[in-house]
Amino acid sequence: MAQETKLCSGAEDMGGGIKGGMMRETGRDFLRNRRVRILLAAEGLCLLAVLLSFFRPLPTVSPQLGQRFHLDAGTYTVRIAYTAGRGEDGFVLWDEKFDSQTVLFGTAVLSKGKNTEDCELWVLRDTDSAVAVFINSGDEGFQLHEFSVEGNRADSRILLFLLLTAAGAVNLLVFVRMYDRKYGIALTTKCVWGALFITWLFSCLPCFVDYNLWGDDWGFHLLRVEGLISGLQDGQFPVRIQGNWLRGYGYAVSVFYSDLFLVIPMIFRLIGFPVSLSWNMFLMVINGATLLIAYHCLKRCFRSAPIGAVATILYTLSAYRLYNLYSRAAMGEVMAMAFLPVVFYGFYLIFTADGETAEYDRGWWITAVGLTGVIQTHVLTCEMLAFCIAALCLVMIKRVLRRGVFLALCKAAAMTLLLNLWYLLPFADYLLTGKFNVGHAETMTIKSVRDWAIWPSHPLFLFYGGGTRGNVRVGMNWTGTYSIGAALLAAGLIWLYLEFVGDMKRSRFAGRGLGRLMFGYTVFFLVIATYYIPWDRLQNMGGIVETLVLSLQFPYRFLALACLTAAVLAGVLLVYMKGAGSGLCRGVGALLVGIAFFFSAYQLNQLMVSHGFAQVYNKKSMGSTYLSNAEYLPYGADIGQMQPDRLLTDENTKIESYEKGQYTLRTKIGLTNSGKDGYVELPLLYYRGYAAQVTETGQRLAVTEGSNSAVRIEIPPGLTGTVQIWFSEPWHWRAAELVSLAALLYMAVRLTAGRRNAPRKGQRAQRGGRLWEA
Amino acid sequence: MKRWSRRHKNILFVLLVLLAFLSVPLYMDYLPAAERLGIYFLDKEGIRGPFLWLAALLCRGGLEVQACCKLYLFLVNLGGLLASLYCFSEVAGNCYAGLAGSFCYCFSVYYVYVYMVRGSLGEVTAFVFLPMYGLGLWRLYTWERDRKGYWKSGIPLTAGLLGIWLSCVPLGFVFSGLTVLIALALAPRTFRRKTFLVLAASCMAAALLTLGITIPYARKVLAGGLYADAAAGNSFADRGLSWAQLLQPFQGNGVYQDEPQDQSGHVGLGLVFLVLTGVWAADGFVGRRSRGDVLWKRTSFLMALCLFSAFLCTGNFLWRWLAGIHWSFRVLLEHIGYPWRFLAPAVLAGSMAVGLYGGRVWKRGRKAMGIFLAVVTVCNVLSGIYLMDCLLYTTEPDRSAVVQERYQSADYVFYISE
Repeated sequence: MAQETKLCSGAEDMGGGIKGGMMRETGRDFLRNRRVRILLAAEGLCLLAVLLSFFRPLPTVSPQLGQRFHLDAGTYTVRIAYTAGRGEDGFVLWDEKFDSQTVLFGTAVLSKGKNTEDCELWVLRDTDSAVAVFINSGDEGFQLHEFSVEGNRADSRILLFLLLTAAGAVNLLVFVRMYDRKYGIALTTKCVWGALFITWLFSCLPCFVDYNLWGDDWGFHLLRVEGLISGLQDGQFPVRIQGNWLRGYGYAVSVFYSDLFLVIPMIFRLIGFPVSLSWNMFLMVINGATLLIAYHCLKRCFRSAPIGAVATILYTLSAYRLYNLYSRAAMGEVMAMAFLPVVFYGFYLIFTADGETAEYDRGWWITAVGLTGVIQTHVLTCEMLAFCIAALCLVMIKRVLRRGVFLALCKAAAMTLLLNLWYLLPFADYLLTGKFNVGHAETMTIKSVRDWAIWPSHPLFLFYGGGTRGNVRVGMNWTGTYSIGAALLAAGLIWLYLEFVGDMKRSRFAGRGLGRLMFGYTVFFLVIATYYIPWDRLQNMGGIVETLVLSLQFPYRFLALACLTAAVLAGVLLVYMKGAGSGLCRGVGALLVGIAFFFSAYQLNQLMVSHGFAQVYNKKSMGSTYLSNAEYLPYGADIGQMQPDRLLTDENTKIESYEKGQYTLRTKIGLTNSGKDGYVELPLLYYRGYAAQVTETGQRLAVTEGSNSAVRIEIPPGLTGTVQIWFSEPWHWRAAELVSLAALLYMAVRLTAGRRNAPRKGQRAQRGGRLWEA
Repeated sequence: MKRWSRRHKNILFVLLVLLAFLSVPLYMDYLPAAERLGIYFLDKEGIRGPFLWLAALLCRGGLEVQACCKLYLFLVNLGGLLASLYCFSEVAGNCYAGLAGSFCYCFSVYYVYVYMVRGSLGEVTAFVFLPMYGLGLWRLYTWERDRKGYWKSGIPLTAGLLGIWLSCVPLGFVFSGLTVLIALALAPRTFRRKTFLVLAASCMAAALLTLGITIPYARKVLAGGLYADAAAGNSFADRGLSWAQLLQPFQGNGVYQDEPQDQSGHVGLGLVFLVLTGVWAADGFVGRRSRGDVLWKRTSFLMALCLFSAFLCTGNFLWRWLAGIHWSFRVLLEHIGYPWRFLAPAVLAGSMAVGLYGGRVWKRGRKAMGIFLAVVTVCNVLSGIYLMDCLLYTTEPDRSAVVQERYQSADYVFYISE
């Protein structure tokens, strides 16, 4: 045993190369072990069984409406072909005996006109009491052409995914166990990972239910996920305009709000999971990613795994993050919070590392990766971040003006720009050349930013419930959780105490400067989010200031940054305590973690018992108009007039045929023109980039903005034939995508080369990663 | 300039943090207890007392009603914290122990209730003076008689009684009665010449200095004037707390908007004093001490006083019988208003006991004191701060200062009793 311990400490000292060798050796042992082979064989057999299920015959049922029918457990596609005279019709399928314990379907929203819908259906166990009914709300013109229930392969895909995940987890555990037996894993490491795992499980508590908590933007993000699928099916890559929105009119949400990380729930959906479950799984992924990213960054900053873990736990369980995740369903903001520690770590390296070292060289690309993460998740957080970075550069102006630091900052900015050009260029293109609701208070739900600031009582309030009210007029009554949380507040107060009594001033603590900076930032963010900041005056200044302030919407968004700076402050505090005595450090660390768990338990508990919830299984049940603040709608467009069968022509043009699905932008119309210039207006929302072509001749037709911002095709005199309409990216967008791809490849190559030439741990410790000198 | 010691800095820091948390309801553009606050700014004839005049004058100086109240309440919070810290530190002989007592006192469920549910400016002002009253009696009964300056023990007692009477008459009745009770309970000491003289002089001084209020008050009462608030309720005993309310560890998290008038669902002894009672009882059964352990006896006296006062808050005490003895008792009880006002002496005695326990723990070292302060903090967070947060969370903002009809139509208002 003693030898094992020695080996372990020796291995830690010797650095990454030896550790990699130990991993490889364990890997070989893993494959040689008899029990492991039996386990792998069992997993292989299960895998084979699941793969075989892909080839089983699929059942098809054509039940009578309103009559009970039998369904075996499995996944199905319900096909409904109908003609509806009104837009309020619906279709319901449920289990009369066991409801959602057996059949997961919901109410499919039917569209006006002639349509065919393919809806997903999940049957959890065999049932004889499934019933399907149309709700046609007095629509006399309603006609049903086809109704069938056909099995699909989604259940096999789900099984395969679950099997691979479970097998991966079991194999990893066995591997770690074998590694531990052979080389020994330090107790601290085990405790740290155990604590992180418990924190992850704990932060995911509201995900372990068969419904979603009703968050403010929940429906909006669900539509974005489904929109990604629609866009890909439309042939767009990357997806720019999502065809599933606004009864098929399409919405350029992807241009303004990057979807990159929504690929995760999209994959869950494509595998075949119901919408609610996919969403909960996505939230769990976000929690896990936040924990892992924050831990790896903060651990390196503080050069201590336990301190990094405590700061990470405080950050992950911070009140505002949990509120964002579950109550607001502000996915962009909460995903951006996962990347904020990376940005911090990048700047930390740039400002602290010695200019001659490799560690220093890593600073700029880590910053670029972090900023890319933030841009790709939530541009508004990036807007706030830019403001903070500018302030930081002013505070650190002497360091900024050092050649090496300045170069690193420029490289980080340039690489960020290149990596994100594929998204930023279209974004800027639309924003600068088009006119959208964003930036125009009169068309947006949020008229005054100051109305959504917080009171100074908010940060000091400890027992938040499940409320979501955010307007200053409601005060603290059922207010949303606009606080960094008790644990981070406690860390701030302890720091303030040390400053107040002069301990910090007298100490030679190297991290004093960093601590002060983080404390200053935390206080600044808490103050700037309050009602007492003249947000109205800023908004009334007009121009770019108005646009920036209005796009911010809620000043309380600054709390996201406050959570990070306060978590870093907590880490710095623990490093200071460690210098004063490890017992004190452990005690304060445990106290802060205890407070974090207690208050987040209260918050999550209140959320779960008092918050509204919703169950949505397939995309047909989601509707298509959950636009949230409708920021990306063309200015002046009226959603009420956007009907799926709205086709307008001039008197010279006649439509012979029309083909367009509800979830696609691709449209085909047959038309004739009797001799003069004409036009056709389609049920598509106009965004620059639509193309129209005559199928027979290949002639391109002009596309302009019609009434109520609909797509208008200009028809030349005498044209007869079929016209195809689709969204086509301009060439400069494509060029930007290529530039970003090249930048990504460069980063990947650099990262791989960097890993190969990575200095050993012992050497790394001497370079960079010092706490900020006072 | 003299540098502050570490201890002073520690105390000042904690005091500022406590003040910041205690004043959380004041940082918004409304007050949770707005329903009653307008009363103090009516132009009706009545008795106010100097403190309520201060609030009224602020308003007449041009400040909005709610702004006046906020400023006034902030000053009261500050005053309460400072007074209790000083007095309890004197009692405990240690400023950290005094701080613990002060924490329990200012974050007691009763204080939060008066401050946030009742919005009773007079009653909350009395909280500044209760610790002085406590300190006065403490010194009177614990100082050696032959000590130089023994008579000075009468100063805080006089100041306390005077302040209580000038800020809230019902509490004046309560604490005057309590003084008599304590004097009788400690009769062998009370009737020692020096002690009796100081006690009598203090009470006389307080009585003389409050004549400007008590005489018109008595005249109006004898002429049949009614105390507007209590007049709308049931009998005094019916307004008592149930045992469940009294012993409920966590107040709050409920909406009592439908409950008439007093919303007394939010008041009780609170977790701190329940835990304290448990500790004291356990200490009594299993603790080892010498027969002449004076500190234990004093703590026990305070605890007994605390529990007896708490019992007086219930309807189970002989209030009905008392009210039936003579009309003067009934009138007196009606002017005390609510039995739960006896929580004031309970909180005072309990907080002093916390201070005494703190003093004892201090002698066991820093670690023990750290644990003690942590327990006090946890208990206060889970009772006082929890109640405060729940009240803020469940109260609809009311930015007005509208006064209820029964006050508007009254000819004469006992501001000082509200």
